[in-house]
Order: sequence, then structure tokens, then C-alpha cells
Amino acid sequence: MTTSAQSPEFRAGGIDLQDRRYRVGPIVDITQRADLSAITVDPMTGQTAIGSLVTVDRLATDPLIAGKYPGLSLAAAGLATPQVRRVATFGGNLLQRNRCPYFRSADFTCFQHGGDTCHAPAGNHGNGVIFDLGPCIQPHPSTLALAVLAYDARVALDDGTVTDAAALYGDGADPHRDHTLPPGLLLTGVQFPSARAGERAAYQRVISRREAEWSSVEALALVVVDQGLVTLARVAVGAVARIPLRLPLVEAALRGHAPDDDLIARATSLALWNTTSADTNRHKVQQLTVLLKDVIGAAILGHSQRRSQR
Amino acid sequence: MSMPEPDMQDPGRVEVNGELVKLDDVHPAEAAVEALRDRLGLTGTKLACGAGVCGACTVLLDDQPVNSCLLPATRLAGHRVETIEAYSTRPLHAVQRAFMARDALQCGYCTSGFVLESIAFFRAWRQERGMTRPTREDVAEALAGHLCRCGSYIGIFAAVQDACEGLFDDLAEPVETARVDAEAKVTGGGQYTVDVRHPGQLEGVIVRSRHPHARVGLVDADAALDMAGVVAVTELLGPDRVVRYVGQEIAAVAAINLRVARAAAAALRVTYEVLPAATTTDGARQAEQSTVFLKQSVRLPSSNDWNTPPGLIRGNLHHPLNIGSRRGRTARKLIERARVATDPGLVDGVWRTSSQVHTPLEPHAAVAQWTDEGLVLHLSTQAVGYSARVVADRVGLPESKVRVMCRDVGGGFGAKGRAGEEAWAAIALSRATGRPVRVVFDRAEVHSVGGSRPSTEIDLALLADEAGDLVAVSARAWSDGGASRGGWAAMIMGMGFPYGRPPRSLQDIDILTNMPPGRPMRGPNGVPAQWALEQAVDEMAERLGRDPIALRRHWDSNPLRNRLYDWVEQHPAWQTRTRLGQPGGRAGRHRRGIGMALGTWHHHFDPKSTVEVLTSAEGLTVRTGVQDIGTGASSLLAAAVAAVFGVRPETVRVEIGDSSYVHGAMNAASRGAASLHPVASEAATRLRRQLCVAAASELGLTDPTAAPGGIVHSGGHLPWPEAFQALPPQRAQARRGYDHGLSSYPSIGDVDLARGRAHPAAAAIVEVDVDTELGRVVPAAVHLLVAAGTLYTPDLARSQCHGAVVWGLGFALYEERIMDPATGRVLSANLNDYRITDMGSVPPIELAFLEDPFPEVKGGGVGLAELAMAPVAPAVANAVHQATGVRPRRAPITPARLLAALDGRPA
Repeated sequence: MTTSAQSPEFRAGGIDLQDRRYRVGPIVDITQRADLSAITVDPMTGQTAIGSLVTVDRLATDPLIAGKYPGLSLAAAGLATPQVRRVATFGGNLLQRNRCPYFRSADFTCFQHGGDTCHAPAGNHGNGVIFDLGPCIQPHPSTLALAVLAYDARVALDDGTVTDAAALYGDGADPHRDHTLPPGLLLTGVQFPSARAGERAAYQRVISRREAEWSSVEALALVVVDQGLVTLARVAVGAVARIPLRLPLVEAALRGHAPDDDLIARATSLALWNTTSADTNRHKVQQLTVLLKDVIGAAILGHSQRRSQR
Repeated sequence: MSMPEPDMQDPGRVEVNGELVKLDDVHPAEAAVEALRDRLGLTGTKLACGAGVCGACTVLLDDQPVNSCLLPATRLAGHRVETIEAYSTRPLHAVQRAFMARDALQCGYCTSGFVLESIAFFRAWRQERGMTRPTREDVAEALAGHLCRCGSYIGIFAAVQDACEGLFDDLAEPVETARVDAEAKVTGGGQYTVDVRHPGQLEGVIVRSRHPHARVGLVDADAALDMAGVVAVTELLGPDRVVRYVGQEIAAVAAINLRVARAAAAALRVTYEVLPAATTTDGARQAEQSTVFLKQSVRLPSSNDWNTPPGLIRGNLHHPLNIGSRRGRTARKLIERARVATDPGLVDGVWRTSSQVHTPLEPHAAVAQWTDEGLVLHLSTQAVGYSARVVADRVGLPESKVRVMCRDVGGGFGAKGRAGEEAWAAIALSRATGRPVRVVFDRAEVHSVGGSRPSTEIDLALLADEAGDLVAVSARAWSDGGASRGGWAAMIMGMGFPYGRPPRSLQDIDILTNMPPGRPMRGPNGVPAQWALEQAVDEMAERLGRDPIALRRHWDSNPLRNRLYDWVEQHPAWQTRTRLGQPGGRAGRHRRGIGMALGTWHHHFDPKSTVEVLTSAEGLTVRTGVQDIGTGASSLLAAAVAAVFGVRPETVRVEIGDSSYVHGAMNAASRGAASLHPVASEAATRLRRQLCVAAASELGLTDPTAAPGGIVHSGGHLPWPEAFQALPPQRAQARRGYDHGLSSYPSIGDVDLARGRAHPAAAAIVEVDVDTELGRVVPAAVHLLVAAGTLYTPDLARSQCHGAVVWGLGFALYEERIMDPATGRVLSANLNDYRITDMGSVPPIELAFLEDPFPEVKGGGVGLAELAMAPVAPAVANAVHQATGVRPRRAPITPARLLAALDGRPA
């Protein structure tokens, strides 16, 4: 989404927009849309529609969500601070702009402002991506996107269309945008498929302090173990690529096998395929494998941690 | 949180603290905090980070704590808002009473937010869990959206846990508190500069350089001045019109509100002639010619303010006069020989520390009111009196016509020692407009030009002989304080060097860069120096196969410090360490590490510090030109006077924060308590004597003598309140002066800083949990023993020490200014990207004190705010080393650096 002065900016919780509020086009508040704050379960299909204005805190604490989609609930509980979660919305989290200091600063112009450069490679990129998908090297900031991808959820738009969540982010090659929605098109909700019996989930992030920090690496795993074998594995990682990533190779390696430490180690090593890094962010590659081991292991054991690494 | 439909009949209607108010013409970009503070005058709500990180702006929206800095003002409509003002009348909430009793605050700037969030947590906890006690984790999670820069977290943990458990439910029970202003601060009643609002006040914004080095040509203000609401534009350039770093001030704009002022600032057209710049230390060292200061053409600012010896500039290097070496050539020769011979007794390494920013939660702020009678300047400052002198000198007014006022300061840590550009801009704009003008930095300004600690690179070598004696020390410290000198990390090692008198070569070099100038920051130079020295000693102990305490004892015969070593040696944590075995000798992913370090600091005081104590019919007043930055100056003064009279401290009226009062000490270099308490005691004692004399002469009492609570005379007892009413007003004052004979050095420079010869010391044992695979270091416990002599007010001293530990952890593990090397712009310009210690990262802290008074020091006690910080960071590093076998030479020890070191890669 290029922010030319004319294109309007939708505002829900207002958190992401606040430091750019004087530099963006006209602000269109969408919080009056009471129709976007509902959580509805279709009694026929079991699918759940979650409005884009549902707050992160509600996703984290609503027993219905925790019961049906534990991965969504855990991811929501694991992000930001209690105050932010009370105000931040599902849609806002999915469509927030990246946290690159060059993009956030009023003093630089980069791809994300519609320019033609990225300052990070020659400058500071300690939290840069470790999967090379395009010229912008700032990771995507959304935590809830991991859950949306892991559950194969679909997103509903204000023009009545419903699309794969993955399409919301594209392939990461376009350095000018953090999502693919054209200006003026509103995300109205997310549709989750019916809940799975026996699903266990874990979400964790790596940060330097104890609470409230943007992730160095974050991961979400959903697992179903049936009669001693992994029958379903969904693994998504964040803060490592221009877009939130599912890891299909890791998932495939887990499926059909008995979940032991060897399997987890073998599967997570596949996450490293295609990673690239510089001296300044090589630690993220290691953190990714370690965190994946932790998260997949925790999901298999059912030891889901509500909060970040302790 | 439910979001009820706004009342469409009356879109601006909000219920604030029980009253319906209307907000008209709300701009879509206006934040709720701006509406509450500026429109409704509810200034108990504080703006600090502006990014939803620190929580100072917390309000309750339909009973739920939210960040009012992130909340659009338009979102208030139809909702119920409670600010701290809703909790400002007695009886106070149990949480507020607990904050007062547990001293869960220092400067108070973050307190409103902490209190409101804690009240919401308390209510939810009571509902779900009754009177049970929440764990530290419960509290840390609930308060994860709050930061306290002073580091009052230990008190906050205790306050919230104790309140939930019901220890403060009896609202009739009086609260015992360490601070006379505790109630004001838990109710949003602190008096900070950002809250000052005069009729007709304008808002000023500073226009800053976009280039790291340039000569400024034309500053075209026509477009800005044409904008509605813009009142004045003034230039702030020096006579050479050269800017030396990004963010250096060029001009300032005054307008009717902040939004207009910002827009006008953006509309100013500045013409630059861009000059060659060195924005990195590598670039600066390579530059053949100076790119920062041309010889001595400009008076060099100092990151150290005081204690800075003169020096010479060559290229971009500034070489201060070397006064710390002793037989330096011998030391260098011995060490060079040991290097060649790869002597096992040589510890030789490079230690690095990062640049940090002070980031006080109250930003730099000034409100100037220039009238024909003179200048009244409200300034967020660590020194009202000193600032008044500097301002008078600069604006050309007699000192009697300049009045600087500041009662409460929302943190400073060295960033507010001198009147800065916020003051000069506000003064110039007020002078130009004839109206009061307020200038308040935003967080990006605080993080870029508001002050920083120079980064250092210290080449340190220690040489021990076969007997384990320390035979030579060599330290060369390179400091990058941007466009300032003042690096003195090597030489400060020599001041009170604890490990004997070996030959030593100490050399400091400032690398001048086109970056914002540094300012003194809590423990300037000393904290980086001890990061290197105390790790080197640890390394030497390992090298020689000796216990770190045994080695220190071998080198150090000072009796006081040997008592610290005794304490460490006998401490259960240290004995656990001994059982853990050799550094790095363990396997496994999760490892506990335990390390110790010694910290030394200096006894500073202000010999001119003067305190006045007065009586009137209303009672006792203590008065001096200091300010309360969170260290508790007002409480300390009240306590000193109260102790002399045998009355309660809260009955003593405290008048501070005004340069027109008698000379008060600035809050810097740990001189506050030592400059105030003995002086206030002495003044009070004099006054008491005067009162007795007056009681005899005026009231005809026989043999009147002062006793706790009143005057005892042959005819009975006259309570103080009656004496104050019966006698004419009395007044007495006292002055600090110097200590006896040769026990102090004379004060230097213009900042009234004298150094005593007392040698306070502190020792820290730090326990950390290291995740060697993720690279995370989590503090598990800190044990600190402080020997600073008499504790004047033990509760306040404890809070200072807690804060010092929090700062030490931040230095060791989190805090790092990040800049863009190509442009010289600061990237870590917010509290997301600049990481200060959060509540959850603070482990239990055990404090102990050796309270034997220093006999040569008036009052017997010295300052401890910096002393208590000094040993913490190197103890963290030594603990990480003990867990991993890796020597963490660079601060902060981030996961990236630790993993690289464990991998054997350069960090």
C-alpha cells in the first residue's frame, strides 16, 4: 500500500497509525462499524467468522476462541501489552505497517514510502529478514497472521469477496507494501474453518527482555497427535521474512511420524532451507531453529505457553 | 473491551471523572492525552513515550486501562473516562496507599499510569482470586505496558502484591511513607514543567538540522509566518551558522498550538551548504582534517560537564591533558614485554560499551515568560540555581531578574544538568512574542539530542607477576561523545584505584564525530571504566586459578572494601557459585551463572549548599533552591528538620524549586543528600537554639531547652506549635562548607562540585539464567552491599539503590542507541527500539549497607546513586562468563552478541 497523500487511511485501534498520523492521507475511522465486532459460529459448517474489529484481548480471552482455535488465542495473548491488546483489533494487527526504523522515521524515504531505496542493508538491519524474498528486508510485524495462515483461514473484504489469507501478503517480492489490499478496500473479517478435535497449539516469541517487545523470532505450531502419530502439523513463523511464513516442509516432515525429539530436530532443520543472513542477524537463524524445536515440542506435549520465552 | 455506540445526538459528549464534558472540533489526529491535558487541564495524565510502551498516559476507558497517547480523541465520545484526578481525594484507594507505603515511586512521572493500571488489576484480582497474593509474574504481566525510568519496580511489585493481599484495605489507618510528597504523586498532583500553563501561552517547536555537518544559509520563514496561528519564528544558530550533527537547532517557531507549530516548523525552508561529516568513529579516525571542530574556534561542549581537563584537538581526536598516569612508561614497557613473551599473567583485552540515552520520562521542557520585570523560566532541570546563573549570563540580564522554577522533575539522570535548547528556544520566542512560550521535546528529540552517554572502547591490560601481585596497568579509552569532549574513562580508573599502587598508564582520547553531543549520564565515565576493569580482574583470577575475592583481597588492603569482600565470601549465593565450578565448565542449554564485582565512586558535595529554616505562626518551613528529581530532596529536608524538632516530617513545609531561594545543590554527581541533610540539620539546630533564646527573652520562660516536641522550661513544657505562634517569626540558615582540613578537594569549574577524600564502595553479586541456545540472559537475583557511610533517610537510599540496580541491568543487557551510519540520524528514537529495563526483567534485589559513618565527612554519609550502579553491570558480565565460559566484552550483552561469542564469531 503506497501512502500517497490522497489515499485515505483506515483507522481501527489507531495503534499502528499513531506515529504517522500527521503524515498520512485523510483518516477514516471505522470503529463505528458495529457489524465488524462480532464472533459468529455457523451451526451448519462449524466455521467461525471473526469481525476485523474484534479486539486482540477478546481473541486472547474469549473461551470460544480458546476452545476452537487455541493457536489464535495463544498468539493474541502473546503479543504487545495488555493495554495495547485491549484496543488493538484483529484487522489492524493483520494489516499494520512494518516496524522498520527507517520507515517509521520522518527523516527517510524508502520503498515503503513509495521511494526506490532501502537504507537498511548499508545501515542498521539487526532485526532484518533471514529469508530473502525481495528488496525490502524488514520482517512483517503481524503475530496474528501466523494463526490466520496456520488455520488456513480466509479473509473477507468490504466488496464482498473472500480470499485466502496468504493472498493478503503475496510473495514478499514487492518492497512497497506490507499487504496487498488496494487503498480504500476494507478487511471486514476472518473466517476460520471448523475446529479440529484434539488440536494442541503453542506460540512463543524470542525477545531480549521479559515482556512487551517486538519479536526477534516468533513461531506458532498446531499439532494433532492420534494413536502415537502426528496426523496434523501446522507451523508458521514470524519476524523472519517480509511476509508471515508457513513452513510446509517442516509440516510435511512431521506428519505421519511418532513425535520424538529426533523427529522434531529433523523437521526443524528443514526450516533453514533458503535462509540468508548477514553478520548482524545470523543469531536469528539459530533462534529460529531453537524456537521451532521449543514450540513444536510444546505443542506436542500440550505445554502451550501463554506468554513469551521465560 | 466493549465499544458502545457513540451517542450520535451529541458526538463530542464524554463522561470524564463523573462529569459530562463536550469536546468540540476534535482533529482526527488529536490523541486523547492531548485532549485530556490541554483542553480539560487534567495534567495528572502524563505523556511520555507517545508510542504505547511506557504507560505514563494510562487512563481508564469504561474501567479498562488504555494508553491515551495511542487513543484518538475522537474515540472518547460516548465513553466513560477516568483519569488519576478521579482518585485524588481521600480516602485514597488501597493501591495508592500501598504505593505510598512501599515507596513505589521516585520522580512520580510514571506513577499515575502505574496506579490506574494497578487499581484495575486489583479490582479484577479481587473479583477472581479474592484476597490471595499475586505472584511477581502475575504483576509483571499485568503491568507489562509500563516503564519506570527511575527503576522503582521493586516497590511497585511490593505495593501491588500487598494491596491485593489486603494489607491496605483499612482506609482509616494512617500510611507510613518515606516521602512527604508521596500523596501528591500517587494522585497526579506533582508539579512538573510540562504541566505549566499560563494564560495566552504559545507552543514552541524547534527546527533541526537534517544534515550532520553543514553551514546554514538562508532560513526562509515566509511560508511559515503566513500560516494561521503562527506568531513568531526565531533563529537559534551560533555565530558561525554551522550545524555539527543531525538535530542541531536552527530555528524555533511559536504558534497557538502544537499542531500548528509543527506544521509551521515543517514549512520552514532552510538552505544548507553541506560539509564533510564523520558520523562514525571509523570515519572520524580516518578523516585527515577535522570535520567537527576546527581547532579551538568553538568552545567544545563536554559530555562530562565538570571534571574535564583541557586538551588538544588533532584531526577529529581530542587528547585531554593526561593527569592520571603514574610511572606510565614503566607500565607500558612491562606490558609490552609481557605481550611479546605471551606472559600468562597478562590480561589484555578490548572492552566496549554502547552509547545510551538518558530518556527521562518527563521530556526536556521549558516555559519562558519574558516581561519588562524580567524572565521567569519554568524549566525541567536538575539545577534551578545554576540554570538561573547560566541563563542570566547568556541573555544579558542581572541574576536578580531571572527566576528559574521547578519543583518536581520527571527524571534527569544527567540530561538536565544544564539549561538546554528547550530553554533557549522558549526564551527567544517569549522575548519575540511578549507571550509565555512552552517548548517540550517529543520522544524522538529526547532520544536524539536530549543527551547520551558516550560509547567507549577501552584497551585494558593488567599484568600480574608469579606471586600474583599486580605489577602494571595500562588503559587507553576511546570515547565517542559525538560533537563533545569529556571522555575520561581511563583516568577515572586512577581516581581511587582500589588495587594498590602499581605503575599505570592511563590515556583518554575523545573521538569527535558529527553526532549529538553527549551529556553526563549516571556514573559518567566510571560505569564504562568499571565494566572493563572489574571484568579484567575476574579474568585475571581465572587466569591465576584464584578465587576472585581472594585475588581482590591480595591486591586491596583497604579495610572498608575488605569488609565488602567478607560479605561476598560469606554470602550463600557466592558459596553456590563456588560449588558450580569453573567458568564454562558446564554443559546444557540453561545455565545459572553467578558473578561479582566491586564498585567504587567518589564523595561529591556542594560546599555552597545552603538551607534556611523558618518559623511562622503556621509552623516550620525549610527552604533552599533545589528541586526534587525523584531522589526525594523535599522528603530529606523535611526529615532532617523534623528529626531536630522531634516532630513528624509531614508537618514541615518544604519550599524548593525556585532559584530565588538560598543556594541549593544541583542534583548531579550524587551530591544531593550529602549536600542537604547535614546542612538542614545544622540550620534546624540553630533555629531551635534561637527559639529557646527568644522564649526566654520574649516570653520570659526560665531555663528553656529544646526537647522532642517542644521547649522544656522550669515552668513546664511549651509544645512547638504554641511556641511558633507565641514567638515572632524566626529564621536560621547553614552552609555546607568544606570538610575538615585536607579531607576535601576544592570545588572546580562553575558547578560548585567539590570532591571529598572518602572512598565509598559497593559490591554486587548477580545471578543470571542464560539460555545458551537463544542467547538470552535473564537476571535471577541481585545482592548488593553498599558502604556509603551514614544513611540519612534509609528508605530513600534503598529506592536509589533499587534504581541503580535497574540501571546496571539496562547497561549490561538492554540499552543501546542505534544510529544510521550513513546519515548520522538516530534510529532508536522511541522506547520500542531503545530498550530500557522492564518490570518483568527485574529480579528480587537484596540490599545491605555498611552504615559506619565516614569520620571526615560532615554528616558521615555520602551519595550513593552512582556508587550503587557501578558494580552491577560488570557483575552481570562476570555471571554470564561463569555460566558460559564466554567473556562478554561488549555492553549490552544482547542475544545476538552472546550467540556470536558462543559461536566463536566476532560480536
